[in-house]
Amino acid sequence: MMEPNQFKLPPTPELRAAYADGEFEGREDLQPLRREFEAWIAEHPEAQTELAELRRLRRWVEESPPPEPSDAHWTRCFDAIAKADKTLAKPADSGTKILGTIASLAAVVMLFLIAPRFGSRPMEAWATAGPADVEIVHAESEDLAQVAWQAPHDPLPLAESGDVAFVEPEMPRRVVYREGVGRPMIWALAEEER
Amino acid sequence: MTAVLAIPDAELLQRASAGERDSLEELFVRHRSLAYRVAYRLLGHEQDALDAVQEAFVKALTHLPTFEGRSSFKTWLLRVVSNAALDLGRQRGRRETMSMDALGQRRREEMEPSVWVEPDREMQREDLRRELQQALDGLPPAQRQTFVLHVDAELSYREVADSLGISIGTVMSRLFYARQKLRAILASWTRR
Repeated sequence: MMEPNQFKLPPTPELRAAYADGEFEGREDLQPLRREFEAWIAEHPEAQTELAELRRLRRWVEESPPPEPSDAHWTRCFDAIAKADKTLAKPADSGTKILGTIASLAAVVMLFLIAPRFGSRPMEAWATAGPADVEIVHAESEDLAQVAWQAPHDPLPLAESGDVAFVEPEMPRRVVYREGVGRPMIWALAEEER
Repeated sequence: MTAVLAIPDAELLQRASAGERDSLEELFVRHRSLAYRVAYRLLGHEQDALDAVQEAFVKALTHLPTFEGRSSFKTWLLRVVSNAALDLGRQRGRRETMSMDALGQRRREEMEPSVWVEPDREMQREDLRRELQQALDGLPPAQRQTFVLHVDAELSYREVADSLGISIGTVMSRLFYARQKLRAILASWTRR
């Protein structure tokens, strides 16, 4: 763990701790220095006391292990690890994959059909507007077709009330939602709500 | 399971990453106690320690490609465990060492009696463990981690240095300061 040239007398506290930790063990290259170190220790009682305290501290740690979990704890722990480890997930065979795909598609279709009924609740009921509901209140200038990718066309006259045609006014109390594809461009409040 | 007992960790790892559940289980059984001991010392709480072990194994398996095999799996795992434990401790806030006792008899009944010892000695050991845990809790995380990896996990200075990516000099320095504080805190125990 350390080079021989790191070892000098008197040894530093860190080196004394390393000796107490057995870091000199199994190091043939450190054996001459170890003997020198031990000779120094023998002449210094305060260092011997220190080494004894260091070893006692280590012994305390070793003699007071944490409580060992039960087998049930370990089993739960391993099951959670195995569950989280995706490599242990068995790959699905082709038949299962096809069935899964069909089931997913069916679920999407069902959602598409059911969602308009349950997805958003109508907030208010509206009737489709009739021609009499349209009133153009402001006509201050000629209208221009503003087309972003072209120069303006010739001036166009503003529309008037009579120009508005309702092509499908068969359902006077047709219920529409505030949001959604079927929302009409022109609408009016249902009669009873006016 | 008997077939995998003599297999080295590296091979078990390969097998586990190929989806072999038995190999993963063998790896888990081999290293769980040491991993738990490290996590417990860093957290002072049984369930938190188990959570840290679980998280560490999952992380280790997830990041298996980053394990370059320069150190042993044990050393690498203990690094992941100790980091996971410190993270968990920071997230949850370290609980009182006594919290396990407060959980009541149910938890105690789940614990396996490891070795029968005389009640007096067991009480003494419990007191010592509590004192030691409080003393460890008082250390800065880096010193605590280094001390626990060396003393509890029995890693050499070199292994601790490799595991934490620090120099041996830093290991020695951290251990020195950790011990100084522990000796001071545990001095009262010495006088008993």
